[in-house]
Amino acid sequence: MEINGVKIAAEFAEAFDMTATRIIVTADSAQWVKIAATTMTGFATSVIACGVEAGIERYFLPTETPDGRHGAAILLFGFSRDSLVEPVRNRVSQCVLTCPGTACFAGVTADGIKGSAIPLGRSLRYFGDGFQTAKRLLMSPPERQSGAAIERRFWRIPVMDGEFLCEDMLGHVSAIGGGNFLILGQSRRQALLAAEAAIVAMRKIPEVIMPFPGGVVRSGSKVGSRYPALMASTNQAYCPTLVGIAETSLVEGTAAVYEIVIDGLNFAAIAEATRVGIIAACHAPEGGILAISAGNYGGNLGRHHFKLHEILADAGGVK
Amino acid sequence: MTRLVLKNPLQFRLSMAGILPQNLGSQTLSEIEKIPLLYGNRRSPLGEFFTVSKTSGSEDGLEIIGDGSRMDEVAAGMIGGTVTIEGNLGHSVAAAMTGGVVTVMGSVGHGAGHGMKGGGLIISGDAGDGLGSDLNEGHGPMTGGVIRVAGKVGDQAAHRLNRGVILVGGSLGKGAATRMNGGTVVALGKIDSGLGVMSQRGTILALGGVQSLLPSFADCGNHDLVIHRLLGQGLRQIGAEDFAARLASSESLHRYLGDCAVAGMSEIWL
Repeated sequence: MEINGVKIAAEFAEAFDMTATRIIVTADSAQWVKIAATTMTGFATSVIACGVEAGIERYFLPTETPDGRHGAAILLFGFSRDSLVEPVRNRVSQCVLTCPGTACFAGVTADGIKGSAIPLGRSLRYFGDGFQTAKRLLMSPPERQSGAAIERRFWRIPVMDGEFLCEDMLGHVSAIGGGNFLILGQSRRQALLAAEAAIVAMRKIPEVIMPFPGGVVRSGSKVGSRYPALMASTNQAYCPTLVGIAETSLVEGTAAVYEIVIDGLNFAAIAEATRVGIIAACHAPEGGILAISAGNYGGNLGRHHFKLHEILADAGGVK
Repeated sequence: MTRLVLKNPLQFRLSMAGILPQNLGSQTLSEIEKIPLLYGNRRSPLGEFFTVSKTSGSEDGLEIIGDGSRMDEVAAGMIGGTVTIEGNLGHSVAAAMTGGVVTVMGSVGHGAGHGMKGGGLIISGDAGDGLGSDLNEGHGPMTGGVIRVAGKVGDQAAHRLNRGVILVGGSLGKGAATRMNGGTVVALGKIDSGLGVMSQRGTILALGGVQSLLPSFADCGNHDLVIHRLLGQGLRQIGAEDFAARLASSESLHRYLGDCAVAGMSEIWL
């Protein structure tokens, strides 16, 4: 398969079951929303060392948020509900509570099963040192801004610029992490331009994040290492500087490879993000893309397989 | 829908306890007419007071037409459906109701919505004392639902209010929200003295001002908070656009916290 002259390898991305939650952060201006959201999603590229994978799903206009201010939707992924509890609490308390004028809302409904939802305001309220108050309000459910209202509980924690308002509990949903594709370029510049174009296109797709810096990974990894203490190590098969001394998966002439890793709330969202990302990369402004591939472990570790040829079957310009 | 049209003006008080849409929907007209009602100190069949008919519409709907100023406990204990009353009502309308919507196109007596747990009570006229309060009749405080009164409300409203929302379009009488422990009271008219005595939690939006404030409420200054926006959203959700608009028109509100006499954290916004 080829798109715009770029070879699409007959490979598949292998992804894993994860658990995700969504937080809506609002603030007085788009600038402060971006600061809060960026700070909160920092150091959240991989569960391997960061606890969670997190990213900004999208930004909201004031007409789209619960409090009528600028906002952002942040998705956080972990291996289980329990693995999300502490990172979510810590990130909100250190990065959002501290940020001027912010408020925090659930982005998915807490399903009401005691012990199942993720406590947020319920934990952070203690910062109020007894001056905090709770408020139950009839509001639209987190997923939409209209329809039958439900009762939602918020904590109001006094802070130096007024109050930090924070939803009591967050819902969580089953999700998928580790969708990916690889961009093999003739030069680092061309590969990076293609990766940037892919990210721009993929950020328009809801329910996905690309958690790595700028959405792009240069250090693709394999499972295990010759050093027993390491869970993962560099994937030499994709390192252009090792062609000739290690078994390679690169096509001839490859000088740089960038990986786009995708976490999403469902298979369809990741598949769509993969599709638009690859198409954008194949039409990158300076060209120079030799091939698109994907990372997997032979299909033995993750049950979600994103087969590139199937995902791109209806893409325009496919040969 | 079941329709009850009052035949003659009531001489004594008539208890409508148990006359609920969920009970009437499956009954025939003759069965409904035989339901005994307490009238003064005797029991008489419902058919003695009302002309009963079934009209098109939802099976769990009840319509009462006529001057019910002496008709008490209408929709008390209601769990769902709709009750519409074209006329005034006596005391304890919608007491301890847990669901459904009661619409009164007129005024109501004392104790409307006392001990309410859920649902909605909409009153187009005035309401007497003890609106949405705990009247020590075994129902406890109001712990949910929405009460909306277009006109003025008597004394001791929202006593021991725990949760839920009370909206008052007109003035609010003396001793409102005493011992309040949660919930929200919004009044567009002036609120009389004794507001929030010994209250611990909850929010009072006195958008029409207050006659006087207790000295045990601390002046916390003017503030524009996110919670005001959310309260506005919440008001819009329950169709109280006029209340939301009034709230939105207030650029910043003045906050008083108390009742400090009981180390309370309830708030009055002016």
